[in-house]
Amino acid sequence: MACAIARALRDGERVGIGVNSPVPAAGVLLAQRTHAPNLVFRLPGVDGAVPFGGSKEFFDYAQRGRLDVFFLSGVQIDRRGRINLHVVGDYRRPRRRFPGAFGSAVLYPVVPRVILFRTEHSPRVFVPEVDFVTASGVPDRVVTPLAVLGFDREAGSLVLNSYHPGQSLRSVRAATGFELEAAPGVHETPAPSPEELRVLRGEVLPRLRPVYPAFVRNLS
Amino acid sequence: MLMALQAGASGVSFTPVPGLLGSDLLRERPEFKVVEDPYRPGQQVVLVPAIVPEFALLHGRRADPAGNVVIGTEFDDRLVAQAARHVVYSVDAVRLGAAAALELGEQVVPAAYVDALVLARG
Repeated sequence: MACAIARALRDGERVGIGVNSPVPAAGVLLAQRTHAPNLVFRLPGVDGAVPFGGSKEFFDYAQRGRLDVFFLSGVQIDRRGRINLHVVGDYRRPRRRFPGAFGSAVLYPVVPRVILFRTEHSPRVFVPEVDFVTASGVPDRVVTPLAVLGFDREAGSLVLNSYHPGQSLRSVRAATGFELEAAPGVHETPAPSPEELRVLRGEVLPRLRPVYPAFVRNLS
Repeated sequence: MLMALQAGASGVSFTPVPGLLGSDLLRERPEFKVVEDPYRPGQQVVLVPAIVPEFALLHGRRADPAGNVVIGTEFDDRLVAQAARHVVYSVDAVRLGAAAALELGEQVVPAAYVDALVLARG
């Protein structure tokens, strides 16, 4: 997932990384150490990140259109790329309550490239319609442990761009709760290269340790 | 004016401003609008358009080569740097690590807000 995220970033882009986003953080640092040395990014606690004056200045920066890329996730993500961070079930009588928007409702429409990520790819996550629309926008792509989904603007729906090694069009479809069309040119995601793995393990994880100690410990 | 700059920095096109009612500014500045406050029915509030300077020419004490500029905390230059489309900073010195250690009363304007750096010697 980190490699798929890193490969999506272009040199010189201004990238925001939200709270509780260790996988995007790893992807951004990997990109910075490989093909995109001039990335400008926000990741409190990591050397070289932009020292914004708190979240307020970061949001101001994004709201006036300076941020190129941001990462969002959702308890549920639907066919149209909408995310739900609020409730499963009815909003007023929820079966499960989650923390809420955390700024996503502002950022999704105003940031030009929003990359969605989710560490679980299953029918309960990828649903036809989210129970509550926390945020709506046009996603650049969705990165999961199984696949990279793109967005067909004409159809207004997520499509399969590539399936990771060991997966197939069929297996990804089976894990998705809505009709998932294949994009033209659908292919297997190139496996992480030895160089990507070396940088991830040797350079990225040590930098992430102060911010995401549990995440790094589980991978080590 | 600071609230109008803050609106520019926050990417909104206008902002409500407390007070101002009864001021001749409202007569001389037709772009200031008086509307009913939607959250306090019957009360009026003044709206002013955001200020987004094309260019901001600012001066700082020192900077690192990446463009992180150290300035004093006594002015509102940091807000100006956020509101403006293009920001040029002159500084007395450029050196590695200049923004790493701050004295009391200093703050950093991050390089993300700065488009160009000029070394002003002497």
